[in-house]
Amino acid sequence: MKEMTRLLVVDDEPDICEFLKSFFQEREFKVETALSGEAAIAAVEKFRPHVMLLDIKMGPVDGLTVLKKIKEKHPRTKIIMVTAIETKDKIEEAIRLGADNYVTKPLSLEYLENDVREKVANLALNA
Amino acid sequence: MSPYDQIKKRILKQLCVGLSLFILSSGALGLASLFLGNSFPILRETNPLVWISLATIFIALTYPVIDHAYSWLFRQVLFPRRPRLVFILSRLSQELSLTHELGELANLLVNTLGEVLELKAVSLLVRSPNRDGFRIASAFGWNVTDYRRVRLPEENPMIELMKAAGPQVLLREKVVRALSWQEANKLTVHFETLRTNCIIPLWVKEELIGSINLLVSSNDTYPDEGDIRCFKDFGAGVAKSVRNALTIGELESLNEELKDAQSQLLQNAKTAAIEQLATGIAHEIHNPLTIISGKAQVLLLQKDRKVYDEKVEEVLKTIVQQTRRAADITRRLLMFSRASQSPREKLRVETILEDTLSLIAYQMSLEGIEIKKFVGQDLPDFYGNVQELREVFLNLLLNAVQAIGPGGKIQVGIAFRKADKVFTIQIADNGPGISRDNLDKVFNPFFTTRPGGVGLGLFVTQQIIRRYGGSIRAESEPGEGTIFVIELPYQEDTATQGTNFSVASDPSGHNLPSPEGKHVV
Repeated sequence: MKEMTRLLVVDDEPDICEFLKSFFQEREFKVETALSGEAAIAAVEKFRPHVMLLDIKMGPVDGLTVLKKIKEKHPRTKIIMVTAIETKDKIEEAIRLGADNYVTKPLSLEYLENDVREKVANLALNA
Repeated sequence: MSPYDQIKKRILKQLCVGLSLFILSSGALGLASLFLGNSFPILRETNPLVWISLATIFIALTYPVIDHAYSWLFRQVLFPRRPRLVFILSRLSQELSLTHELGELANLLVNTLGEVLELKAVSLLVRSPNRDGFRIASAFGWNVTDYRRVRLPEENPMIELMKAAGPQVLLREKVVRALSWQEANKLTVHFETLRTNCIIPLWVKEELIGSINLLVSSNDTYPDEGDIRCFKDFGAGVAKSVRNALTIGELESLNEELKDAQSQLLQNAKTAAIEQLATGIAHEIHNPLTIISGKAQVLLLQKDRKVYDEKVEEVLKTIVQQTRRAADITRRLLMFSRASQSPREKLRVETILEDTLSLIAYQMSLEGIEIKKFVGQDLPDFYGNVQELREVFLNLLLNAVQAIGPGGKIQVGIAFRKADKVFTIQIADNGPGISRDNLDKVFNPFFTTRPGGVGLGLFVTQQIIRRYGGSIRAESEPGEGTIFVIELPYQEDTATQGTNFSVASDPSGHNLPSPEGKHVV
């Protein structure tokens, strides 16, 4: 049986986590959620996701800090940043730190799904 | 003392001199014929010609002595000048100490001195506030254009002379006499430039702040030692008044600057508050919007569409669209946030106008709106952000389109004012105009008169224009349409400016004259 793609959704808003979890589970992803930066870092070690959806604005450990730590340790993990607003310097910072893409809320689910699948395909090619 | 008094005095003196000469000459000739008739037979002649010639010789010999004596008598005994001079100068000095505006003070000083002391010319030289030299604040007996041209740098020989002499009154004759022929010659030119032969320097503590320069016309009024002492005391008083006026002037201009800075700060604080609010709203509202829109998208993405009819699909699509629109409001509010500023590049203002017009050309042709465009000659390049400028044009054009409705007219003009390097952009419509009450509010955030409008277009436009140090104003009269006037200062190359945006105040004084009878925001 083909291995399921593991997706970690990180957002401090439980509703968003739940919504994205159910959306991707229906599309045959294995999904975990984390509600804070700290929880996300711990979850990465346990869950070893292929792709992460990572909210930028979270307190006290924000998305950029999480991004930096995870890319240092697990550079192969694909990370898509999720922002409520396109703040240019934050996005530039995220890309500099190795983010693979960014999407803005409200999300276009079709685009997001395609993007996640594309990242997984790249992973498979480079494996 | 008016000049007419002086003329009367002069006539009186001449009469006295004439009478005295007549009496003296007749007396002298009478005595001469009595006592010397025996020795000089000619004195016994009855021929009047002889007498007339003798009287003439006598008068010619004695006139200077008599005239001088009367001058002395008039000046020192009958009409003593000094007490009057002291009185006038002290009154004037008091008057000046109550005058706190330099221009007014200078006018009062030079005109009073000029008239009362019967001087050919008087000027008040004052050190400029930034201490880079001296200029004439006001003058009597000068052409206005002449005295305005006079600028003496700190190293000017006259200024150096005054600095060396301290608070002494400088008389041209004395100064020149004390110098070598060559030096005197050089200095004479400078005395001529200042049109003076008597300089009263103005000192406050250790600082030379200016001078009063008198041109005394006749020997009769040429100041003597006593006069000079009066002038020196007068100078000390005037110096204080001038210093006060200068200080008050400086304080006033500093106060103006402070006021400007304060209103700028307030503006920045407002902007910052809105920015913060918008960021907060964005984060709080975009999450529920994500879920609303997301759920609708989930339904739209269902593989088996048969369970919905077309109406449901339409509703779902509307939900997705409208949530996107709601999110765009906060995005537009953040357009002017510092964090989301975009880089500047060399661009052509008229090209951006052209692009923007083509964006809305279709809508305008549908509504039968006529648009006229005027582009001035020799427009330079502009360093700015394409998106921002497009936003400005789009907001103003859409505003005009919505104001006039079908069949209206819009005029757009772009010109460049070389004098102060400012782009002027005007967008005029022939719509119903804006009422005076509303005209004050059009740039306020969330102000709109259009049902369903958000009220951010003009606010964002103003924010963008201000970021370039420019200004925007609306002129309107109900029933006569509206003109938006933008003044955008020419921007230097971004390479030297970087993204260091300054929120400058409106460059007042460079505004286009507004059409008569229109209210201006």
